[in-house]
Amino acid sequence: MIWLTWRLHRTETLLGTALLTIIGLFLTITGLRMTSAYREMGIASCFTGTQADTVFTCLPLSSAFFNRFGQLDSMVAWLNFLPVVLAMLLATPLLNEFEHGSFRMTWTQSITRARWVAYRIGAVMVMALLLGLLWRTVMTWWMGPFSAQRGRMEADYFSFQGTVPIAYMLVSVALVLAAGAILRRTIPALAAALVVYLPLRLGIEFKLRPHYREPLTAIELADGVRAGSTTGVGLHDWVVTSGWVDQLGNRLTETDILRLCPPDGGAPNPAGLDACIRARGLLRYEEYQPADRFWQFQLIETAIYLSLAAGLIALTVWWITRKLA
Amino acid sequence: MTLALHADHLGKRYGRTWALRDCTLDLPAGRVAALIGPNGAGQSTLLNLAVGLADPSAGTVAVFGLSPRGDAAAVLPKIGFVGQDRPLYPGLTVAETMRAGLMLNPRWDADYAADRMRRLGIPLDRKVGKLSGGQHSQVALVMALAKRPELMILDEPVAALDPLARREFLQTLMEAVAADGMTVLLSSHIVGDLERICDHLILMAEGEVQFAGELDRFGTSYRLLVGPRAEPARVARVHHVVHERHTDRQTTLLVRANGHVYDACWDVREVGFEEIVLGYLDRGRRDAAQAWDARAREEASA
Repeated sequence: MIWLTWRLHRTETLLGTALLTIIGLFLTITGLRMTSAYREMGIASCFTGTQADTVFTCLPLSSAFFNRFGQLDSMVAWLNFLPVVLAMLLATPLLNEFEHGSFRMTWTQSITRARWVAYRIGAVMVMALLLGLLWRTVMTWWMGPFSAQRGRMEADYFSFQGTVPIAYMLVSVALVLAAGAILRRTIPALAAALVVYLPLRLGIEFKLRPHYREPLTAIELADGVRAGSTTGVGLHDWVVTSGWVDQLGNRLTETDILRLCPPDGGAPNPAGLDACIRARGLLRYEEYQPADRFWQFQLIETAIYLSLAAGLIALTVWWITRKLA
Repeated sequence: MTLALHADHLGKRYGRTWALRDCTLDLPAGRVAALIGPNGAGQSTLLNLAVGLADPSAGTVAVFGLSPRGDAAAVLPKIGFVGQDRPLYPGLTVAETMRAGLMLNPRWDADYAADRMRRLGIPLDRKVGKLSGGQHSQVALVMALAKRPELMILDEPVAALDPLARREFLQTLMEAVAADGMTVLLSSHIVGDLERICDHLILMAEGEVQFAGELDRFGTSYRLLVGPRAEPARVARVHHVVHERHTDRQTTLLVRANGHVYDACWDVREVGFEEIVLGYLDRGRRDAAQAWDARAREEASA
């Protein structure tokens, strides 16, 4: 069974290895350039100082760094697709088997279908786990310079570090398998998995993740600027929402602001608006998730995805053994 | 007498339709049994239940006294199965397919498999997906036979083959039967083949078993009655009318006779295997057509 499993997955494994090699090369080259620049520009030593140093000496360095490498950072957002692409490669041999009914041959050899399920689905899930582990390790190293400056809480960094990349990998595979077992057509199943995966990831990222815990609120000090940022929210914290409050602490909506400071003549005038807001004594507030909640958030999100993956695998196994003959 | 296959009020339902209903039959070990019936009479379902690919919705099925689903680990090595679509892995070569057989079975006769492939002239390095229909079927058959099964189950294995490939296929099967004395259950529509190789018959129609027993007994109990046009009511009181055909002047009845037919207005004739089977098949089709009509009428009146 081990030989057969390997043989059936050979083509896709080679394809996946080629894909990973290309991406790996890209990440190694850019990663090495970034880490050396990060060291040579003296950013690393800078960020270990006090907050006051940070503002005046580090931020210019930091923006120089982002000017140089920021584009890479946004390019890497595309790699959010990698788990689902790898999942497709891992699961396609099984999907083909569901489509062609080849499993009927195997199930009428001397091996029970429970063992078949354990080997075939087990192999794919173990591979997904190992790939997830590799993925998070490479990306944690690659993102090191970015995260040292901007923290790990923002979506662009959060999704590639900690434990969630492994969970994404497992959910992707489980999703593709479930779709394949139910639809029994490879291409529609792959499409369906993709159609479900993207809204799922985006939904959790934007709607759920900001609320894993009640965000903290910071209000700007009336007497002026605090070190680092106007509200004292750290560079590594994740600002979820921001806006203005009046002297009594009431939050103002966009319309409130426009009513207080009507745009004169219709032309937008940011400087004028800012002056008007200041003149009314309004203060800036920010709701944020502090950087030290990183692991807590990672574990919550990992748990969500793992339970999803477990549910989908259970559904797949049930469907295969009960419905698919 | 050991029973290779025993079904007791076996039924299978897919959604709300019964694919097989109340099927009770015994297949003694050592027989080569033909399973015949009109399309959709439940043969495939019965065979899938026998190899454990499907789970019964009602009743029980046993292979050598064991449940194909419950005792799968014990039953599977005893059975060889060639499914309707002769499933194999199209991306594997013939040699790799045989290797899979070796890995998947405790009793795998690699010499037999290699010998068969050589004698059939099937190239070992060719991908299964690139084989001709006949070669593909042979590979599927050898995959099942090299397990050295005690019960071979074949679901319309020759339906898509040309006559020569069909003959070669059945030859491979019959050689194995002669050598091993295994039990065979073979469903097919090709009545001539079945008559030649089988000694046992299971006839299914309308999801039920119409006849199950030795082939020799089958022919002798049927008669063809030819007479002037008449309703078969009187005959039907004594004998089981399988099929009736009427022209303007003449009525032809196929009956399973209960003893002699004494009615003098009928000309009683012997009837061949194929005619009997066709009679059942046609009846199945008519019943299906009637069921459709009845349903259409019901829906129209509703």
